[in-house]
Amino acid sequence: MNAKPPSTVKAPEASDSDTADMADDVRPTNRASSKPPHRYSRLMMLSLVLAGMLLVTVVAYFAFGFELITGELGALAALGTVSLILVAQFIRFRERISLRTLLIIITLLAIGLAFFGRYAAEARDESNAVEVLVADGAVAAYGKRGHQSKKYIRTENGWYLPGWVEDWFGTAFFSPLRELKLNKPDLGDAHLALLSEIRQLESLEVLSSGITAEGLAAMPIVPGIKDLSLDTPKVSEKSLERIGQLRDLKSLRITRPRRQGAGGGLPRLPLHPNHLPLPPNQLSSFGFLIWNS
Amino acid sequence: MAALDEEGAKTLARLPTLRHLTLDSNTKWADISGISGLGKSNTIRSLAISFFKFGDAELQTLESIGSLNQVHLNHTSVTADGVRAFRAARPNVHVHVHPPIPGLDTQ
Repeated sequence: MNAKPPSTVKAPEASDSDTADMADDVRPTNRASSKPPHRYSRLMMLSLVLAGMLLVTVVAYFAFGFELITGELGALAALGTVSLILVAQFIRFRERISLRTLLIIITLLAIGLAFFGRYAAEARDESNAVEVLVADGAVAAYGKRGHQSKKYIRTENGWYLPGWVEDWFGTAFFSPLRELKLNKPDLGDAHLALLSEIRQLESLEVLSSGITAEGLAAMPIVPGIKDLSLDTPKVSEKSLERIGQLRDLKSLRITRPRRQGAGGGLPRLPLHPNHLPLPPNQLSSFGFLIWNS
Repeated sequence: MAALDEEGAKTLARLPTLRHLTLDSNTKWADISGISGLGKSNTIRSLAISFFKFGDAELQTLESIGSLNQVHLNHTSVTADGVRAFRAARPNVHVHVHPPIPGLDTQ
């Protein structure tokens, strides 16, 4: 008569079991074999992230023609990633994350990589354009940089980085070109058109006799340019219309090349000491600049 | 630059942040009759003009540039009377003339 019904005795045990199952979902345990199949270890997550990054790299190469890493390094990274995925299946760790978390992480990484890839591609294009300009005689000056050597560089933002990082991504990745001087007769309209690849140019000086009126009239609009000097007789009304679109322009100088010995005119201001002209990736081991002329 | 017409000068005057403008032609007496178009500007602070056909009438058109505080005239045809008249109208604007005009004080 005083005996309790079985259901009242069993109830607490069933409740403990449910609680334990629920705890498995949120707390790491040693019972890895009882994990549901949708759980991934951190190693597996790392493998999948690497696989995603490689996929982005491959897409960037075939869709945009931008080679983020070399072919050999890409093959090595792919082999390592596949190996990691294979190994990760047999190595189990206590801490797991859910598939949803994994997807969120990969999505965020993919978005970040997309912005990074776009910036890196633009910087690489700028570096290539500056390389062509400097090789043909232009004088290029990057932003303010500190002590530099082949081993280490100090970027415009004050970061210290190994020199090979700059070689890999290009000088423009860390220090965008600020000043450009087109002062050789060999520099023509095609060189002027390369300005479209330069993103943060602040000062442009055009002295080359090889640039035509048509080239000047079709000069790419560099939005942030503040100082423009055109030392050429080729400035036309169409050129002025082009100049009128440079909304950040603060100083404009339109002159004609002066014959030797002719007087008058205002003196040309020299480049700022911190903006010494240098060709990209041409630094000596002592930190001095090597001219590419 | 051999000539600056009024439309071209107005284009330059519309630049919202233009502070310093240098117009220089080594072809003496090149046409700069459109310089009056710069009168619309309210940002230009210093103006340098060299080797243009720039006389007293053109200098007078610069009086309407309210932001102007320096004018450099180099090998132009302005006269001492023209510069004095400009200085009287815009006493806060420094006018530098080269080569110096006899009878005109350097400012």
